[in-house]
Amino acid sequence: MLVAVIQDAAQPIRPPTEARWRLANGVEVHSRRWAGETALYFSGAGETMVVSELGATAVEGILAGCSDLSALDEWCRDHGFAVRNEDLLDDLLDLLERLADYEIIEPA
Amino acid sequence: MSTASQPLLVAILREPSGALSLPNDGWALLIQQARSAQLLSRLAYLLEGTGDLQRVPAGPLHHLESSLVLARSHDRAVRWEVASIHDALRSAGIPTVLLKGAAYVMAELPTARGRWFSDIDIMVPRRALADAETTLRGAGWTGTHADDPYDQRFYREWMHEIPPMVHERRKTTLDVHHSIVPLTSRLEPDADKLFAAAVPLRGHPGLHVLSPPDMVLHSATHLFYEGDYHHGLRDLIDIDDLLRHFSAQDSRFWRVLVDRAFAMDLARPLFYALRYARRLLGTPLPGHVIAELRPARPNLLLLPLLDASFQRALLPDHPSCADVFTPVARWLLFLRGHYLRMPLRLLIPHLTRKAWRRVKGEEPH
Amino acid sequence: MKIADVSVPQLQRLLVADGVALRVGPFVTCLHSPIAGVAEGLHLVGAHHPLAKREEFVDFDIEIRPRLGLRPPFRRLAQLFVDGIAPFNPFPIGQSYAMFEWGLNWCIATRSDRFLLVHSAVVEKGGKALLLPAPPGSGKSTLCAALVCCGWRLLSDELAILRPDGLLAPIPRPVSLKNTSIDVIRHFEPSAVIGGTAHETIKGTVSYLRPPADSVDRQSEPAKPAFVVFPKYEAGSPLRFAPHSKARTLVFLAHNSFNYHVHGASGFELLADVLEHCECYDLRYGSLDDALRCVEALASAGARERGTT
Repeated sequence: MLVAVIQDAAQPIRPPTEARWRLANGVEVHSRRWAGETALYFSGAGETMVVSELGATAVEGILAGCSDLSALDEWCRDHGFAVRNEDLLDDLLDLLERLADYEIIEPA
Repeated sequence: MSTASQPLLVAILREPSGALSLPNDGWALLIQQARSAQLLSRLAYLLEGTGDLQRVPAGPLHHLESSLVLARSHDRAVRWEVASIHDALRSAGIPTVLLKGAAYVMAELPTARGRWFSDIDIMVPRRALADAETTLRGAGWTGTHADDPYDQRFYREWMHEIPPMVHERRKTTLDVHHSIVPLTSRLEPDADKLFAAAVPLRGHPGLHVLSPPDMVLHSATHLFYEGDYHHGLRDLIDIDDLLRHFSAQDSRFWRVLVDRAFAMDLARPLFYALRYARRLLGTPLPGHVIAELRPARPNLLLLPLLDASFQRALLPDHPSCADVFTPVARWLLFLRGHYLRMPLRLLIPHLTRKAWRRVKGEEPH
Repeated sequence: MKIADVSVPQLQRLLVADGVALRVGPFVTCLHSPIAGVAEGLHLVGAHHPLAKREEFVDFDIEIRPRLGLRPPFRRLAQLFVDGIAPFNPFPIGQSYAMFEWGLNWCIATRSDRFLLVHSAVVEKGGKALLLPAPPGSGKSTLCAALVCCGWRLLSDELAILRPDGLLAPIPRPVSLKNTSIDVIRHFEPSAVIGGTAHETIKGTVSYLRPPADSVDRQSEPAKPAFVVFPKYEAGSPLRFAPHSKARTLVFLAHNSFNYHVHGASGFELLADVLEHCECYDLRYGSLDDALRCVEALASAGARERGTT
């Protein structure tokens, strides 16, 4: 499972770029943006959450077809977020973990 | 419109447009009966189907529209749940048959519309049961009744299921069966025959639903061999719906149904199903079917008692639908249900234990 | 005809015979009970409520019947029935009026999926509705009661009923006050009518503030949401009034809704549309007067900006 891959510290960590995912069947994304924060609703999974600008951009990336971490990283960079920023990667991984937990994305 | 023996709800379900001429107190009674029988959204769907929903007065319309909102949400939730179960079991290659409500939804049967149910029921081959349980645990379902060895035995050895599983995050319930009647009951339908005839579900490789006759037989067996009749009317309506739908689709359906009932040793539950569907809901039955099922009748001395009991217990559980004998009828059928599911040597200790736990407050009434 | 137009004995007779039918916003409930406390509570804090005609469609049939306690200490109990079925355990007979109000809220909350229901107080002034969503213990009921005493229209102290058109439907029942709040409001507004008291409930002592006649008279008049304020009372705290993120407000409302999950995407869109036109704030206060001044300023600032008063 995607979450296991990200969290698994007992075994040698595979470079995260190898983890691939896709949006789960039947999930549609609704969003509303106010002053730098975005509220998201994922139908199917039925989850509502708040994300930052980065999170909103990442979700757009996933919807646009980014299915692994390097593609997502590049997408975020193209949309104005800093390059090779440790925090950025952590933030993306946090978001991906949440999405996997709620079965919004699943291993491809 | 309603007679002494036919509740208003049943009359309107058979003839939905009749509701439009109801006075306010008639509507209030109808809504109450429907709600108690878990048939409010079915009533709403029927009125929507006849084009009458928007002509319903504002007061009752609120309740009907509210029930439709809930029903649509339930439909979405069931589909999501089935997708999740499918994902989990597909990787383990376990052939799975969806049962009851979930099957009706996924097979897009008319009886699914507005049907309320709380658990997903699936059936896997008995030899794959342990595998299925392990696979589901790995996908986030946990077992229940874990610390009670008696309950574990009750479910695993005596009934036909493992204890209900609950998804740890979604809190939804999944019942995994390996047959459609308990191992300890007197009936012996062959689960392998059910699997052999199961129909694959389009778009869900590895998932199936029961064949049309088996679906009817399962519904009949579930209704007439269990002890709890709180959704009795809903289940009888399922049977009526399934019979009408399948017989309209296939002219050989009745022939296949009767033959299959005898082959699966389920002719007696089918007898009851057809008898009470015809009496309460007016289900049209070909004459030959009634004749052919006569050998499956129960003891003729018992039949009047069974009639009196079922014709009360299958009505909505609402004060307006009960008479002085209704509590006794429900209690008799409760006992009968247990008696049929377990041999006496297991039944008496079981009921004694349930009663003791109720006194101690560990078990709901 | 209103409840105040009949005497307590007449009301008691009605409650035992055909029942008392009350219109509560979009709903009609018919109440039956032989228990004196129910008649007394209803007559006092429900005085302004109109009696509905018996021929109207009744949404909820509520009955409160006395029962004998079968276990020690053999207290006199009562039980609530809705449409002939008892969904809850019996309770001490002295809590009967409170259980009527609680039971009515339960009926509305569990049988109204056509609306989006949020756990929140709702009041209105100048055509703008203010939502006060908050967990128990935040002081929302006290603040709501005080606002109502200051001329705000009461829509509800518990349930924000959001219609598909984005307007809020009123259900102006008596405002429930707990423990120290009761004294705070009595002190704040000595002429306030408070009654129907239940002792030793799981929340302590519960009493009810009679809503103003105007709030009840206008119970068919929906209101447009304009403000969402998250109140938090902390004794001795200085006033702090700051904007609250709309995105977080949406998620809070969703998570404090009785039936958001049932509405799926359309529930999200409805809340989002409503919040587009709302101002959202956090209000931390140690003095009720401070909080009131702040809310009044908010309402009149909005009125000034919009060119209305």
